[in-house]
Amino acid sequence: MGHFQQAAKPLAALTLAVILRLLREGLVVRALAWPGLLASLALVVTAGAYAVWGTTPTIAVGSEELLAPLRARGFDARLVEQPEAMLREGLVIQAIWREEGRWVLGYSWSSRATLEAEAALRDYAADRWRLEIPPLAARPGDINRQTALMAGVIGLLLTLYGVVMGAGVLYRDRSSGTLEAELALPLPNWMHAGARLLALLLVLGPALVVSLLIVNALLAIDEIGLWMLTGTCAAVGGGAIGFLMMARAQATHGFSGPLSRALTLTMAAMALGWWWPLLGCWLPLASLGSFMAGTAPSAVIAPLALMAAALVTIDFSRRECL
Amino acid sequence: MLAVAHYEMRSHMAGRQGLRFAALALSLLLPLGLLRLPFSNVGRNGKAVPLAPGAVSNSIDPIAPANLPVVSGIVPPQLVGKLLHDANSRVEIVSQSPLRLRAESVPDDLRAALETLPERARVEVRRFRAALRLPGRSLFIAILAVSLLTGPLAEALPGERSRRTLEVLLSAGISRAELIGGKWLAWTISATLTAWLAAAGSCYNNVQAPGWWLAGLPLFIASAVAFGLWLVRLVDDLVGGAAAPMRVLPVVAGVLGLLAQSLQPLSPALAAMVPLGGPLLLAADILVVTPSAVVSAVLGTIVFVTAVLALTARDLDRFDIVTGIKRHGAIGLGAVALLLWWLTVAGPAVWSLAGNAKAVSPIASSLLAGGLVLLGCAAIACAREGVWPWPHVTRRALIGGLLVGVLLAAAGPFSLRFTSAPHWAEALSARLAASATPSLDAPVAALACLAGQAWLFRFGVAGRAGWLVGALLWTLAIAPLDPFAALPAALALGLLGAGAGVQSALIAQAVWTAGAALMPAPLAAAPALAFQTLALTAALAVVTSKAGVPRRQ
Repeated sequence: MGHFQQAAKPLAALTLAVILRLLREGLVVRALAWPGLLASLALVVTAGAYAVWGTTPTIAVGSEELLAPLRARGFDARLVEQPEAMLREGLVIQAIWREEGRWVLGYSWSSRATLEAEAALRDYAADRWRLEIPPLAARPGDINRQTALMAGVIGLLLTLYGVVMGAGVLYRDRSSGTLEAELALPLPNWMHAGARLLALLLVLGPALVVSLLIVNALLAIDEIGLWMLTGTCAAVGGGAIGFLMMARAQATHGFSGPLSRALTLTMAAMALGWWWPLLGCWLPLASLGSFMAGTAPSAVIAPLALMAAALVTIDFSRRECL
Repeated sequence: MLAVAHYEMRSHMAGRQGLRFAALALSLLLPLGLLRLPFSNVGRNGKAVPLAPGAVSNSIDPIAPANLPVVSGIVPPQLVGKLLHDANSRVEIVSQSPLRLRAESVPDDLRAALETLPERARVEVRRFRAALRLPGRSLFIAILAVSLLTGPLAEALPGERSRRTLEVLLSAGISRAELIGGKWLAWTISATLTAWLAAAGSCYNNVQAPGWWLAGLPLFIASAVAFGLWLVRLVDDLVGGAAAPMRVLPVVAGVLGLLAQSLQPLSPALAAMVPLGGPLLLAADILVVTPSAVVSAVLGTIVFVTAVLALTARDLDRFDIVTGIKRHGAIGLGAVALLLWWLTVAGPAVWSLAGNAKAVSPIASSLLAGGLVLLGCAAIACAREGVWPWPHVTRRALIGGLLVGVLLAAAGPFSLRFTSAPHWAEALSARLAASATPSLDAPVAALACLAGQAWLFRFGVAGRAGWLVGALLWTLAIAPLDPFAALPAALALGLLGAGAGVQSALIAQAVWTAGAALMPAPLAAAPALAFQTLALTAALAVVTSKAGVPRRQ
């Protein structure tokens, strides 16, 4: 216990120092905010646009006999002289007129309201086939699949952030001399790697959780807890890969070479999970790909991710890394 | 100016570097110009494209049964061989006579199959292209051509400053205007030539018909280069020089483009004159082209470029680095937090406006997410400043919090006082207003919500931009459309937070929330505001009070 306490305090101090350095970078903070912000903004703007254009009950009709049946269905039916012309000019998005003995429903923006108008018109005209529109469900269709993809993409983004931050935090400290100064401290070498990987977990984990919660508040994500776990493990895995590649590269190799290798390896792991879900669900990074393909991850990905981070830490402690 | 342009081109485009840049530009722009998409050039520029009756039925291929539309229910005899049966299909045949379908949508192949029914059709559904003028491929060519200039713009002035060669140039026998003009000319010509090359490809391959947009391209590029040079005029590092145009230019161009588009129905000439926006519309081929519009675009660009380059040249001699001001940073962080808060808490109500009220998520999940967002932003603000709230609660803070909380609770739960509001506003505002005194049915969400509000607005923002700014931001967060309903409470909590500590304000709002749970119905407007004002007075008293008994001298 004493040994643990001896290690815990300097590890916590180093981790806190790395976290504060990361959060003081405007680029990092903005990058962490973008996924949740853009996803939620896109959802709300899309729903808002649909609310404005897709639910409009206004319909231009050329015949007075249609007014009552359409108004009974909740439409704002308006009698006009040339409904087709109004539709072509964009003054209305749906219109009904009589042409060569049949009713024509014209529309320029397909929506549920258009379908409702068609159903009303077919019933009124006693057409050869009629339409009935079921009431909206809370979560219609295959929305679980779509929300799963959204959660997967957010996890993917933060994993790539993990790779860049894992590589970048070592490269920056190495080139600025901070790493050299830290290595001169009377602390075991593994602690410097451990602190950086722990800092990545404590920065990327909450960012992923909050981003998923923001999207979940707008469009409920099925199995959100599992997405949080998988995404966090993938982010830690990505950070570990980025850190490993940078640690194994010499100082003269620059930043972009090791980074591109790390990114390639990370994407390859996720692609493996996508294409081979039965294998991928057992591995920390690949499990994100397999979950996006529809196979839930196993419970071992969390200890495996921690084990991978520990191996990277041990590898670092055996190297010069300067 | 030409000499400077030549120098600029030689220093950045000579040798391998120049070849790489040219190869990158051509490899991106040429395919963009040449690639023809299957649905392009169909019904553009407001021309309606009606589907001819019977044309849809051609989409069915009777030889390939796997492509037949799928339905559930009993397939009528007239449609056997034209429809496939699948019990899981979301299109259901519910009755045979008359034939009635239950479906959320009717795909084109199903319509085509139904068109083969023997009886005469009494209804026809016809799709028209929306009467919108859609942008052509030239919009993307213009945007990409300007994006490729990010690196050269970073080198043009920030690179010169970082290498200390700008002083050498300024001491040469050329005017500031000639120096800036030469740099502007070099990159404008370079980007215009590559854009025209891509445009020639799109005209050659019939992707986009030639038009006035060819003249719009150089106008937009010239405006963008001038504006980009102005943005980086005081930056002295390459990364900042690349980041500034990359972040600011698209936003400004987009906003001005929208402004120009909104002015177009009034006057195309006026729209064309909008800096950046008018040339963007012309380059995108969505401006209604009249002779006056073209002349306006040219004149507007000349005036804009001249003015911006003049301002840039004037600032060349400045060597002070522009740094962000702490106050503005706090307001910026608060604004981002506010936007995320609105999206998370009020955003779900948009589903009901879009026609599906069942899709609106419970308020508790929104408050939890919103509270965590505010906590996260507050933590980042504190980490960047190195200042954290002190967890210790003094007796004064406790008493003050309880007193103000009880007075606010006497007003009942927070509610809006709309006299008349549109339906969409009520739905969104109701969710925001509920976050001032969140329901205790979801205690974790309520705690996160209250802690986030206190920590961000009454500590993070208040500490850097003043308690009044924090209070106003909180008012905008809770009641953006009815701020006066929340203002006294906002000022009371903000003042308490500033004078007695953020813990005191948190206690006050928690007591208010607990009181609101006991008194579900809010008071009428006048008494509620009276209690809120009393709470503000109490907060003022707490802040100005001193501990201990005054000593007699």
